[in-house]
Amino acid sequence: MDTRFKAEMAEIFEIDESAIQPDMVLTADNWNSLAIVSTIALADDLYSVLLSGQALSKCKTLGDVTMLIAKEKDNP
Amino acid sequence: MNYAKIKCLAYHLPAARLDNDTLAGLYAGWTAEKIFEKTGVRYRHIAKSDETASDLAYLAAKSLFSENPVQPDDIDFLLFCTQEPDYFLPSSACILQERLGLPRSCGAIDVSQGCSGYVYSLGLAKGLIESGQANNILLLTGDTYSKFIHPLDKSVRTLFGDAGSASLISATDSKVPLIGPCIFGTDGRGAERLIVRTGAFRNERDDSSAVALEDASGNIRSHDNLYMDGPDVLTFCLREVPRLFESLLLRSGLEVSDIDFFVFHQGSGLMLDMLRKKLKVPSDKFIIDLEETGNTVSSTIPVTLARLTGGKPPERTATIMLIGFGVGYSWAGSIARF
Repeated sequence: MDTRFKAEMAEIFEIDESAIQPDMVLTADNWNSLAIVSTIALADDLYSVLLSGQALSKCKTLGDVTMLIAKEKDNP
Repeated sequence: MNYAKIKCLAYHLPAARLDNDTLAGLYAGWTAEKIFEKTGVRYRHIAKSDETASDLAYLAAKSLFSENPVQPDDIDFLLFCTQEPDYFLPSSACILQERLGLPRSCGAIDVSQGCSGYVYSLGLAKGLIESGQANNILLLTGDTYSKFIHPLDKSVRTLFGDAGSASLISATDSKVPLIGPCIFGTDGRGAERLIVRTGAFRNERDDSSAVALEDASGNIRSHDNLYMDGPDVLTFCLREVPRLFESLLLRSGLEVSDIDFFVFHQGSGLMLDMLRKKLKVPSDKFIIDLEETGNTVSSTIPVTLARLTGGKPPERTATIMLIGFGVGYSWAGSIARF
């Protein structure tokens, strides 16, 4: 996970950056439609990847989100 | 050829304002400043319970007539863009023809389209004028989404406001087109993503459709209320708007530096910020003006244009890219010389 992604995710979840880890359980931290909207915006801004809201809403952990981004980067 | 031109504009906002302090009091964990940060909106104007979209459009048209050298008698076609008509039938445009004192020789139709509706209607107005079917078109917009919104659904109540607008589109003796190209698009797969499910004929309203439930994001609504899948709408906009933007530049032969202003549908502050960055448009040309109005659906583009120019053509003709996108999913773009 790169530094900017971590910092921005911490802002989205309004938690300390140290808590942003791949095994972080999203539903424990407000994984609501606003957080998903902000994550779509972040992935587009940082990686030029357009994520689907439905795919994101199925992610259980932050690691799932980074895997989804990697998958979209490989198969846009 | 009588090329069509936007001659002047006016708008009307209902008097009542809903501010972020009031909303923050309803939504646990939210502050007024957080609502502004996430939406770009500080106030939304809200129609009275007995005030309809056609009332807002009527008042905008009255302002247009009082502030400009055009009279109801001059109008030979009325287009009214709304998705909240007064009745299933007749068309609200027919009611507005009578209320505004437009001639009986005037054509009048409703255009049922939302966030893309102003640009759609502009394309229709251009077609009517440039094919010789009309000379002075009164293009009205009006929407009152507030009437569909559950008070405890922050996903939409923080964003949408009510408004009406009026534009005069007239034939000119210009030797070059002043509106166009017009490019349209539709993806009906998005229909379920931004919808009021009941109240027409597919699903009637009854006691069960009025039951409000809480969703996974803590928002409360029933099937009778407006539903918006925010993430899907954002993905749709980030996918389609850049394509439309590139097509408009290609078809018009213009570059970003040739265009004075970019007036896009004012959907949300976040969405507009993202689009501006993605399209690499300088911020002084990319108009973001929803702080005091919210997202007023079909009225955002004409209200923004009217606020940008005072409703009158600027001293030097400005070249303006207009892009509308949203409910449908539907999108439309054009370039207007105003």
